[in-house]
Amino acid sequence: MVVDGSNSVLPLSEAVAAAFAERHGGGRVALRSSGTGGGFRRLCDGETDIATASRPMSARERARCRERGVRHVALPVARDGVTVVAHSRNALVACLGLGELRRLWAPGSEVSTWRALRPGLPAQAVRLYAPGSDSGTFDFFTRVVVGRAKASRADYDPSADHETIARGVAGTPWAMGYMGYAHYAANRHALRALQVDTGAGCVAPSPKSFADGSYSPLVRELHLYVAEDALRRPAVGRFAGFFVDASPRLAPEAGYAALSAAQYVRSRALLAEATRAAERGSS
Amino acid sequence: MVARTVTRPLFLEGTGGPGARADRVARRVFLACAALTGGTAAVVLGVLAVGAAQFFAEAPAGGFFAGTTWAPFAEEPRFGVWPLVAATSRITIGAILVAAPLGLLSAVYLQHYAGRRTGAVVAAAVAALASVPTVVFGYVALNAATPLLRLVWPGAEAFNGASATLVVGLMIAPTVAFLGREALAAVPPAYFHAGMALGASRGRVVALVVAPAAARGIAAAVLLAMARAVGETMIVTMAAGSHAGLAWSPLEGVRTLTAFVAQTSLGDIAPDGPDFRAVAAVAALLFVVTYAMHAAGRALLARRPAGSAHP
Amino acid sequence: MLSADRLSVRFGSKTALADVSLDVPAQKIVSVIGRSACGKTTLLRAFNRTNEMIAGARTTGTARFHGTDLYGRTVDPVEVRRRIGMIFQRATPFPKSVFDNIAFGPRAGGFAGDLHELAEEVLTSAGLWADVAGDLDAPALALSAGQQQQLCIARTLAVRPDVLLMDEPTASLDPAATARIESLVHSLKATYTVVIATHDLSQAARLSDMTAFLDAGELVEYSPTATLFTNPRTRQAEEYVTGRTS
Repeated sequence: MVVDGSNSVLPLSEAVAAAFAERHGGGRVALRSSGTGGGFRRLCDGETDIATASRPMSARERARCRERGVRHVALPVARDGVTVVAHSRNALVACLGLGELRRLWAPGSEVSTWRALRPGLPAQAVRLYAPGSDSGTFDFFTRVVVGRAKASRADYDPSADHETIARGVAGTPWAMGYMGYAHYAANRHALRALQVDTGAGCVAPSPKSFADGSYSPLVRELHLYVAEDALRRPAVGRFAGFFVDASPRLAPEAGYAALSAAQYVRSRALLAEATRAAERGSS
Repeated sequence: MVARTVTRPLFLEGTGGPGARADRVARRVFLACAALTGGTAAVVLGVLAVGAAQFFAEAPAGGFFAGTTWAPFAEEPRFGVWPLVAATSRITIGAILVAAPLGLLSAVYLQHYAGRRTGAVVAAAVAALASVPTVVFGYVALNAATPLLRLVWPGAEAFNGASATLVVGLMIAPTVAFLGREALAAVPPAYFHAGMALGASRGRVVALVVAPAAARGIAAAVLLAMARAVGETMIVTMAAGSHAGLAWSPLEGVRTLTAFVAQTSLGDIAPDGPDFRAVAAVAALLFVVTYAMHAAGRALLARRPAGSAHP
Repeated sequence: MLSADRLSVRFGSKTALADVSLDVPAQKIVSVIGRSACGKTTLLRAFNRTNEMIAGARTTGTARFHGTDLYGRTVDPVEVRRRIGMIFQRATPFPKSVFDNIAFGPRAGGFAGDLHELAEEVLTSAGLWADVAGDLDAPALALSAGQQQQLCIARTLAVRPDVLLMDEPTASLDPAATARIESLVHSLKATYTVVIATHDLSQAARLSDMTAFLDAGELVEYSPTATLFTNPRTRQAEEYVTGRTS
């Protein structure tokens, strides 16, 4: 069974796969993280059974899937906030406004020092680390902060792996970046998460602020996209079901906010319906 | 009683005997292997060429070679490959500045100074260095070289050109050492003995007689090692970063041609997408450069070393 | 002046020279004769400590030069080689210019004088000056084989040694070049002590004052040349010089 897609979801997928292996034995779940875009592409090419996603499928991706006759079902599993991080010894900046983030990250931005971002800060260069262009987090962050998906300055250090971003920011004085909260949580001793002022005051990212809506513009739902054809294999259905069932417990442990109980019930229902559809299709 | 005579032809005609058949089968197997190798190379080069051609159909070659901004996946993509070329050049030149003295001095030591036993030990150590997987070198660059570097320069970034350069230098040093030693060994020993008999020190004889006579081979050793540095991927991908800007400080992150290909391919590349075409264009450029360096190195080696006409 | 006392050289487990004792008088030419691989070259190389450049070589016994043990602990082999020069069987000019070949040794020894004067002097001694005077920057490898050997002799003279060890210096030369080298060696006798290894018995007879006959690494007979060739003391030497054994 192949699970591919979002690097932001990876910590959760890893926790779920470990628990699944413990419960059902065998380590037959191959986890990859080609990015949300890459995961969708591979799902529609029939190369992966499940795609994990940190943003919804775009109309264009939907059309491509339809063209290839790949039907799928999207199951929400957790909530995550994009976390803006800085070097751990940068104590001068505690909170950034959405406007500041926009000026910093807009295409062609000329903001290259902290002082240019906010007068009074030192004239140190801001080295930027962020996900690459195949990333759902990148698409989401640019859409929310800059206003258009994929609209970003280009002179930052891109990486498909949030761990690399964490390492880059942690190891570079005055650096800054953004990533999924779970990756920040796993590296919290080496990074400093910045609060974000979304208009109603500075809010720190945390599973609590993701759940109560106070961090809201930067919070997204994470999904599993399961290929209907793959559901004919009982193992795939079992794993997807287990993922949904285990998320309320495992998501908070892994650095996410769990969804409401009703949402998980709905995910379960969607999965059951898709499984029935798959069985009808095969008979 | 009828005498039974068995007529047995001296040689099986037409198809040849079982030996000949085995030879023919073997020949076909070898041919198939050779064809597979050559065919694979042809397919890879073909795919690269097509991808690069598509790339250049969209992005003008002038912008590719002269442009100073590399942002192929931005909303308004920019395809100036210069930052990647500059990064690769800097790391290659820096690495050879590390590897050439280290490798050539090792070569001289092994060929002209080491006793039989210490020589064997040193040669084994160099061979061990040569067989270290590059991912281990990458790990060393990231987790040993960079922390050490930051003890001296705290401002060094988490991913920086300097530690990658240093470690790439270590990686290619055995290439210089072994090829350099071969070059020294190809010099007629009579030169060495004659030089020593003239009452010169060993170092003087090696520096002024043997090394100049081996100059061509030494140049080839350095060139082939540099070709390895240009193509080195793992170390720079892990340790040098992905900053495709024109960084001037070696303490900053840089993105080489190889690192761009590797880091982009870490995600999923659609074979019909712009990512693939950019990767193909960069990979094609890399191929041309390393192939030219290899060809030049081999050409140097193919020519007789100076003086070998008269041993 | 130059002497060996129970000198032995082994390469690994193979003995190349066994217990050789002899005295080389000053300003004389001593030839060393014997079959191939009898130890001629090893004896010569023992006198300027170049055997030790070969891996596995071990020398025992003593070799003295003006009474000083050449293998003494305080003796610098580089200095030994400057005082006791060596010419090889095959001419080995470096792939450099004629001038640089001459200058290599003096430069290594920190020569402070005029290298061009020195070059003219030694090339004249070696009988090569007339041939190369026009272009000292010409590559040495462009010279004929005989000229190359003359250059090697000149190159060695430039270091100003007291002794010249010559290991079959004409073995790979044609008769004309051989004659030239021989007359050169003869003229060098006035200034230098020469030890020449040769397989050419007539050359030994023509050139040398004393002759040493080596067989299988041992010194069989060491006599004045006239004695050794006409009235040898030993049967082996007699057989060898009369050609009764190969």
